[in-house]
Amino acid sequence: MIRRYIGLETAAAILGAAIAVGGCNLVSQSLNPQFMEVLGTPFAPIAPGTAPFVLIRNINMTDQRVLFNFEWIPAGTLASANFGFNVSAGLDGGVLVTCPVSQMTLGDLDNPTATGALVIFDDNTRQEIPPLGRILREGIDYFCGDVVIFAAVRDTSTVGGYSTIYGVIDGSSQPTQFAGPNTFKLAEREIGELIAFGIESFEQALAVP
Amino acid sequence: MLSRCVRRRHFIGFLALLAAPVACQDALNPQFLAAVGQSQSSLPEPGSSVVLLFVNETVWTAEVDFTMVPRTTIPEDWILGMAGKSYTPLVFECGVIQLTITGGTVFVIDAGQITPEAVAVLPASPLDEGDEFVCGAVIKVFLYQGWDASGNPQWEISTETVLD
Repeated sequence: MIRRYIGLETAAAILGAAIAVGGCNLVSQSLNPQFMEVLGTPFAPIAPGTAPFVLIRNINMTDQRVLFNFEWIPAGTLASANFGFNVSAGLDGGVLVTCPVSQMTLGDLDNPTATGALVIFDDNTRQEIPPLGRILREGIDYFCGDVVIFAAVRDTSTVGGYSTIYGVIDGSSQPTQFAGPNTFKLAEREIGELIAFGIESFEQALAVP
Repeated sequence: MLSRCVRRRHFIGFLALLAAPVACQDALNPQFLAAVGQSQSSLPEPGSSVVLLFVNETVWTAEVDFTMVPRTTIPEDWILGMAGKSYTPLVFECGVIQLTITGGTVFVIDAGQITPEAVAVLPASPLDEGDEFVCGAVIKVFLYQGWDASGNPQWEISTETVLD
């Protein structure tokens, strides 16, 4: 028992010294996944990071169902594409769009004052949520590899009691090592294989000049 | 004297180990953490995701029906419309404990008439977190033309989980 205690203590000393001297990356690569997670290595990425996507997420933070509709300019086109998520209270849904994504908004790119989200009540009546009111642009508001979040929230300061907000998670400084699956790198590889077999992106199919 | 020195060395090393999680986190992703803080304060903490990569290998427009069971709320039914020969990568935050592909429809056009045709799901059993997928996985959902036991063509959906 004493021997074991000393062994652990020595291992801790060596590991601590290794981190202090060698930096975090070296140590994190040499440990097993469970232990790495203890040391702060995340299990899976939050943002695409170096994978060539922007993740557009829609989060319904209200107590009612919300229909989100967002529009963006897909890579390689001058057209726009739009996509919708009908999301229950408290849930979320997102989609990976391929870089470059020059601009996007919740609602209509041609008319930023149009609403991009509807509250759907239990009796199926619908109520428009005030528009986000702005177009987000790559290189200014977000970059390739980021997560752009559009969320519907309760807001007592508005007439209808709901509003939409957005946020951006910077993917560029996300760790590159993960204890579990590297989600978006896997998606990049799998999508690359699909394209090689002649399967096109949903964005190309949706793009409307 | 030597023994005391060794104990002190161990103690300093152990303190360094205790400090490592915070120190490493800051060293690896300072801007990332800062960016989260810059987001709208009312947004929830971001989390990892599961990617559902739907692939329609047929030339026809199609729909795929699926049900997700989140850990915290009631099951949610989804319908995804897809163009022919296209893929759609949907992303859901981790916390999904079960995914079931419940069916689908292929809209075949013949002589100007659109005929909806049902899709067989292979296998029909649900995908469970921890067994068929984990947080961070990519789950591929293929729609294609296969063959039934009698050798007749049928539309089929099958799934494959990618972890590495």
